[in-house]
Amino acid sequence: MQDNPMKLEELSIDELIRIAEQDMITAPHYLKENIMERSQSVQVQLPMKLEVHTRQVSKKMQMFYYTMKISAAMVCTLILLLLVPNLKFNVDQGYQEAKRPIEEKRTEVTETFMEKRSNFKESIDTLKANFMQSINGGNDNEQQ
Amino acid sequence: MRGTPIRSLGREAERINEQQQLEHMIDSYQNLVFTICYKFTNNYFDAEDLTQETFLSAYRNLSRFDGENLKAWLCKIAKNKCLDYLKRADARNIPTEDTFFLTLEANGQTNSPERICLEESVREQLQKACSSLSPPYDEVAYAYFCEERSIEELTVSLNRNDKTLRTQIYRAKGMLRKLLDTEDFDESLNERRQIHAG
Repeated sequence: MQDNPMKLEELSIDELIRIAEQDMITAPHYLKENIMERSQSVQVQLPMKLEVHTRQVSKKMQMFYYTMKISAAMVCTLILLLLVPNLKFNVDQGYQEAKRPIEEKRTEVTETFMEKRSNFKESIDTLKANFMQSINGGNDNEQQ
Repeated sequence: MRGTPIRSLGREAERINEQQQLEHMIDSYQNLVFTICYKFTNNYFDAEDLTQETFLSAYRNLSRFDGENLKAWLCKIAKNKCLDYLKRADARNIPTEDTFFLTLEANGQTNSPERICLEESVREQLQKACSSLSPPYDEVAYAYFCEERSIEELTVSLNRNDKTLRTQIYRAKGMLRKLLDTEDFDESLNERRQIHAG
């Protein structure tokens, strides 16, 4: 028989206890052992210790620690803000330095290419001119 | 329930005292808390997890307990844990007219012979589920969850390594959780039997 959780939610604690006690189920035999093991674990112990520590430190001291933390955070932020533009400049400069040999090489290659292209073009023009001259020269001889 | 003055005893003594208080709470109220969790979840293993969470939460917050009514305090924690679980799982049942227990109470029929004992029903369901698992998980699950035998006993009787046994129990628990979580438990059980027979 299933209970409706929504109806159980509406019951008061005392009514819930009364109903549960009338129809008790035995918990698994390993449950206690599991709980005791887990209670020893760091996940459970650490928050408890932190809470004890927090309770032991007075409110004034807590406020003081909090203020110090915030101030330290602000100072670090300001330092970073001032430092980052310089860092950025240095990084850019470094990048430019690294880029220079590549740029120079690229320029060199381009210049060589352009030179060779213009030489080739000149030679083509020369050949063309010679050819035209030879054709025209032949025509002149024929006319004579 | 108030603890003895502990500030003067040092941290170790404080921890031991809290451990003892936890043990006392578990011994006194584990069945009650488990029953409440089961009534909310209708799942044996979810109820087990929520019961653990309840006691651990109580242990963590022992310092905030006013010492008035330990039983009610624990049950309130259990109820809140169950409600959080239901919200997370989005597993709210559709409201029905099922007020069987409440009606029985009103009519004073709590000892009616027609009424099925909840514990027996839970045990029977668990036994069916354990038997439906494939080997070797079926015998391990049955021995551990139904017969309530300890791991040390099982290492001797089943002649298996401690680690292997723990792994098998862990896996069996996962399978049982899925099995018991289905709405139509009997139908899914029949399907599993057909698969194994085929």
